[in-house]
Amino acid sequence: MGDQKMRKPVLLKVGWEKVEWPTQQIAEAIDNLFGYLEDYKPEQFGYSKTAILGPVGKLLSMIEASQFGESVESYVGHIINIHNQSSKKLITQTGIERLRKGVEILVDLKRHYTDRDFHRIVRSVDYGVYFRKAKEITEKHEKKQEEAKKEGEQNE
Amino acid sequence: MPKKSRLEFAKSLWKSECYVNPNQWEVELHEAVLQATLELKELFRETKDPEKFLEHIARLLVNEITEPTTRDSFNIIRQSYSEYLKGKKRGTPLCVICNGPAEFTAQAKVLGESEIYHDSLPAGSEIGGENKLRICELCDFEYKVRRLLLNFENAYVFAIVPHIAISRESYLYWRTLADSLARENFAPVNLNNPEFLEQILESEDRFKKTVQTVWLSYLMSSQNFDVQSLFKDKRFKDALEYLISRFGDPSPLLEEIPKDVDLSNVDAEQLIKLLEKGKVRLTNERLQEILGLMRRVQPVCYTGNYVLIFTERIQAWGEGATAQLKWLLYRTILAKLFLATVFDVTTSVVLNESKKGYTKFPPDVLFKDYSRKLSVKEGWVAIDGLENSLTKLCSLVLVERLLSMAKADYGKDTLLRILSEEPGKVVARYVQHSDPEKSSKYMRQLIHALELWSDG
Repeated sequence: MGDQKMRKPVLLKVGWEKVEWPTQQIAEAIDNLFGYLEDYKPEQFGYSKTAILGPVGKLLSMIEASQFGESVESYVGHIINIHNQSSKKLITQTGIERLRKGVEILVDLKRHYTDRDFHRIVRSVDYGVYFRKAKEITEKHEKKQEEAKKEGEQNE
Repeated sequence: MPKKSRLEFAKSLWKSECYVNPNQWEVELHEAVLQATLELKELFRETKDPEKFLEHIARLLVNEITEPTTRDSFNIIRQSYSEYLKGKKRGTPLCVICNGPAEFTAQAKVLGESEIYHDSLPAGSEIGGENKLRICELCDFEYKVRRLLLNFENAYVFAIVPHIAISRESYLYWRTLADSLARENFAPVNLNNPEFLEQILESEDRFKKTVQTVWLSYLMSSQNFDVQSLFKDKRFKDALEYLISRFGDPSPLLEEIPKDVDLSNVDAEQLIKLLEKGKVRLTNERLQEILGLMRRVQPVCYTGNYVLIFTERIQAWGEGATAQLKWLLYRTILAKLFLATVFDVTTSVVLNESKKGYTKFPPDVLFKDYSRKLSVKEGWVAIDGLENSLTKLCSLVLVERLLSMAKADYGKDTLLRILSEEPGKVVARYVQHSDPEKSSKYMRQLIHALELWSDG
């Protein structure tokens, strides 16, 4: 027992592998989807997330669930269909391009990241677009109020 | 692990010969177990005490599952920690405050309860651990005297210290500025007021105005004080009520009373109306007394090189992480006004500490990830990061106030939640609880504050 050798240690690999967070791609996806929403004019305005994001909310959950696998065309086609049924303004060529770019980025990210990470990415894009849109609406609303106030003053 | 690597790993498993052929797998396993048994048999023959040997082997097998690291490595770690502690005991123990010979074990309240910043040594006899932080007799005495003389139960105390030194002129200015803080009620409770926070965020005006007024009052040695601004303050009414009940009627509070004014049965509210109309005026002496009663900030102990400022404790902030952030904001505001280092000296003796910036950042591990965002270097709000830090903290607290007003807050940990949430998610929560159409002003404030917080 005296000269007992040390056991060979059992090594376990623990901890998370450090993954570089795609901040740049997320920002690009937000930019493109936000740009696409310029074409989306819902029947009724509102501040709720569903009302503001329109087809983008649907798109994000579809990509997360891989509804059309990696087919960018299918996602874009599906969203154009939803858009034209629910928006007062039809989608423009620029809108389609922005939508396609956004979808391409997301599909690419889905390919390279785990489901868990991709879920976080989708949440970032989701709330990022919502934040930008809510800000835009608030600014427009304020501008309108100021103009109405000025008009009122001029009429007096 | 990236998806591709995971796939490769899985392929290597199912393409392995043993995996494909269960019979071969069984043979290999059988051989390995046989070999191990034979080796054990040899060892067993050589042992003098078979019972102990069996027990030892059984323990090793159990350890393989429960402690997949060798006992020896634990011993190595334990031994090195013990060497480290022994090193701390060698020679004369030094006071961690002044580096003089230490004689007492420090109370946790003197030095803060975190072990992280004290070489892993805890303070206080009630905290476990072999070694304790030690302080000298003088520092211990100083702390006890301070506790006896000053009542910290309902107050926070901040020491404002120049980065290097101040001239006599600057010292006199500081004194005027500290007085002004008290008179204008530049109190921590204002951090609960979104308009106050908005003023700080919108521009430098709040500071410029305060500093300019103070400079002017210092140069002209008199200040025009607008009494009208006090009338809507609830504390003004409370102070009047207190004085009326003390004197029995309001006449001792007033200068000459016109004949057409009847003061019988006049309460505080009616008196305020008379004051607003300018029918009566408060005497200067009583006005100062009222201001004293309303005060929530009290500058004291002017010396040539620092100012102590006492402020009320805000019970609603509690003592946890939220309170730490709010007091950090208050210290940052003081630092911006005085352009000097601000120490929290409520419980700790820290005046001997070297200054590395404007104010110390809370050591709580919860804030570790946000320190860079708040321009914190070496545990201090850095000299070149004061404005950034002030803006970020102010916007953070403003978001919290707006959420609370809309009853959309996350409870007592709202500030901490906002720290980690996506800005869009906070807006979505706010929208769920309020009507942004009706309160577009607050919605704009919220979005602006969130932008300032999340930027950079």
